[in-house]
Amino acid sequence: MNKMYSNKLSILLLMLPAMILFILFVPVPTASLLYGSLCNWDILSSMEFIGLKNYIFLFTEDMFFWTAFKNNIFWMIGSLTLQILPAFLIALILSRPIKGQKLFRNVAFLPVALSGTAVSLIWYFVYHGEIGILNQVLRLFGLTDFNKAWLMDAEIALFCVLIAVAWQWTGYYMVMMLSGILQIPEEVMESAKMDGANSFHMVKDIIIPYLQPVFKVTIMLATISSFKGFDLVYVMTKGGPNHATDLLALQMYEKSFSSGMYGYGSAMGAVIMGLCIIASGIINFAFRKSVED
Amino acid sequence: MLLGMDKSGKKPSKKVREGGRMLAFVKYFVLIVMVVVIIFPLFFVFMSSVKSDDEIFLNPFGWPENPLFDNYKIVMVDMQMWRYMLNSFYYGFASVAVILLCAVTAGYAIARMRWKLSGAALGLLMTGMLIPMHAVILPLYLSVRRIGVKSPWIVLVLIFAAFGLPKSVFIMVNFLKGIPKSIEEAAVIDGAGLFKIITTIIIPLLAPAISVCAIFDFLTVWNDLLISLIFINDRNQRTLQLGIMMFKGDYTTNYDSLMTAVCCAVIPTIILYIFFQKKIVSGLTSGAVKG
Repeated sequence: MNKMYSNKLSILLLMLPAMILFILFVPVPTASLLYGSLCNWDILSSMEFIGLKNYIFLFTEDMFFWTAFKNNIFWMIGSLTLQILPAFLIALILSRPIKGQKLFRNVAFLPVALSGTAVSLIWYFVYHGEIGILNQVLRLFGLTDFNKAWLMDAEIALFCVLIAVAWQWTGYYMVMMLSGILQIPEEVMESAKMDGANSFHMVKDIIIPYLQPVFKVTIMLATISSFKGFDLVYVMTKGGPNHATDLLALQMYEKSFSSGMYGYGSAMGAVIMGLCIIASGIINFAFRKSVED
Repeated sequence: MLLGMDKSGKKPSKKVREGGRMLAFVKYFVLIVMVVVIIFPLFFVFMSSVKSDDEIFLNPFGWPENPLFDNYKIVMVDMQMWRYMLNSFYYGFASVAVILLCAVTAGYAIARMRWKLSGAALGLLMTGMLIPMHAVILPLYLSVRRIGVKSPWIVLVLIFAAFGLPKSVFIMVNFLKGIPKSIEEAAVIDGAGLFKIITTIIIPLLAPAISVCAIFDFLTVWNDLLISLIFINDRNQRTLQLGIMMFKGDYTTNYDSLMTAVCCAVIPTIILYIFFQKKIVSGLTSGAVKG
């Protein structure tokens, strides 16, 4: 038994496919991204090492980068409030026996299984100026004045896209929170009730403290996926109107693949990666006391 | 279990009972609003998919006067949607196969075998969860072009597999740690080799973990847009998502075709979801924990 478990050749053969695949497609390109971001490099010229110039330009002169950055921060805050809060509320409602509990849960989760592209096109149709469902519903209630081409209005376009994101993902976080609440030991709930805790106190003193690990995971996922946001804006608005819905990933895509600015695109990729790592560091730090694992 | 449920056996006063009824009303109100908000756009898209463009404009809320199921034939056959679907199936299945092969073997080596670097190997793989695919897509694209292997049939599958791998290995390792070694010990005494143990004992035992990984990874590939957008040029190699997106660009005015195309992407997913709700929900959420 032990001999079989420490056979070097078997270990090598078992690990090799995974390691080759992973190293070739994850660490190697990451290293070359970091190196490329330090180079002046585009579709016409070859690589020339220029140090931190790409980053300096990015942070000090590139207006579009800052627009996208601001939009991304708005996107992140919006994702957290529009997804995590409703998810928690619905999870609370569904956590106690209620008729149709399973059905409501499964309906809430349905959009998660759909593709970002399909969701974008569905909401493109909702917001459409002429045939959009939203306008038609407003018209039905006589609110014709509010009719507009929602995604063409720079002031609200980003918010409109965020609603579509929330539509898709709230159910995801809700299911995670719901299973977290259902795992709280019955005795804990019972004894709190014996002590005369009302619903509000149950939520505040028992459910919220118990759910810290789930909050950590959901907040982490929502934050990181907000920095990766691409599909919905790409399909719905392509970053427009006038960069109002531009996001970092979209800028990175345009700089890299439409303009062929490889060095600069790499720097943007590195910034996105850095933001994801920093954000998960901050979230880990913020939850260090309440979540021990 | 929570929120105002009374198990203490005391008869609730009238006031409490009214409060409870009020609360129940609010709860159902929230839930029903949620259901309407989720179902209504889907239902509407489906209704519009069997209307003509004119009818979408003139009769948005009405039942379609004579449903044009022809729209589906046009989109599926004439506009080649069937091919995009088939392609997406291929990308999904091939990626899942590669991921499972690598994740089961590596997971077994890390969880069971005795070697010094097993912890380091797991740690290295886990760094993959921190690195967003979006960030390294450019160097991948450039090196793939330099090497000259352009066929998305291979490249796409390998990329999806590499980025799906860390999570799957993690799930496999955790799952294997929960399986007692005694079954394998008995098999060794019977003279079974490592290969036989993995194929006849471990893989069946891993079935729940395998199905979780398969669902998660398949849906990731099936729903991807960015990777296919970058690596696929040939019309005939397009994925379903790329296919439906093109309807917005190329046929902006044909809303009926656009809606039909969206339905072609959405309806199969919904049908699968109805049949495999439990598996899909647990597949997508358990894969994410620690993600």
